[in-house]
Amino acid sequence: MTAPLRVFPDTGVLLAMIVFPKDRRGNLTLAGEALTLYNAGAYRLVIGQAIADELDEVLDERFPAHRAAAVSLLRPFAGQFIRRPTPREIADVLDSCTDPADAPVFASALIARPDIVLANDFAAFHTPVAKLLWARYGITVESLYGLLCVFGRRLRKV
Amino acid sequence: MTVEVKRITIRVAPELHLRLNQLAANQDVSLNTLAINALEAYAANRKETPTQLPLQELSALLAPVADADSVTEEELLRHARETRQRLWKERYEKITLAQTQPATSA
Repeated sequence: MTAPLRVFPDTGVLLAMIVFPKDRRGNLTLAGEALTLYNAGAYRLVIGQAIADELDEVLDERFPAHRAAAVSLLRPFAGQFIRRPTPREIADVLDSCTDPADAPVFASALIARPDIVLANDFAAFHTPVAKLLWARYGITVESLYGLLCVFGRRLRKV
Repeated sequence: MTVEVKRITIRVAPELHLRLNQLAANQDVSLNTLAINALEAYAANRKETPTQLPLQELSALLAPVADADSVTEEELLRHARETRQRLWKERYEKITLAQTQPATSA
């Protein structure tokens, strides 16, 4: 039996999976399908503390009445979060980032060494220079659509 | 009656070996018994760490709120991007850029 794929999600896809698993008509979104696969144990999520920090800030500002409940749900998992990167580790990936603000997340992903970095932000995570970085560490970058292709739920667009 | 046992072999540093032997002597038990007692206590107290993140529960909590407040995905993702840029400025930028500056001589 092979171990499930380790997937490092960007904050955007994590938020999409949590807040927008269905569209207005009640149909599963791509994020919702990814959530269904996760709940079925198809892959394992590896969460960076840098991602958790951002998630916490967004929850605090957009869902203040529900933040405490959300945080208490995540608290038992805090010990599994990938540590924050050091300034040196962040500086080392700056050249691979179109926006330096992404560098802490890029560096976290390199610490986590997942099989897949899951991000729908193409302008940040899927650029040629970013893809070179992921490839150097044996990491594949996928969008939500790409993740569904990995599990045979969609066909790759040629 | 024969009790079936399994054998395990472990390698430890000489210092730990010495300490364990001293502990066993103090308790008047063999090193084997000391190890069994320690492993049984560990197994009994070990709490299984959950591995599956409660995303379904988080979704059940937050998705209806976003729906009721007419929060769009684009809006929330823009907010997440702005949050990232703010955290970069507040927490990371200065200490990171300090790493990229050449050391200045006095």
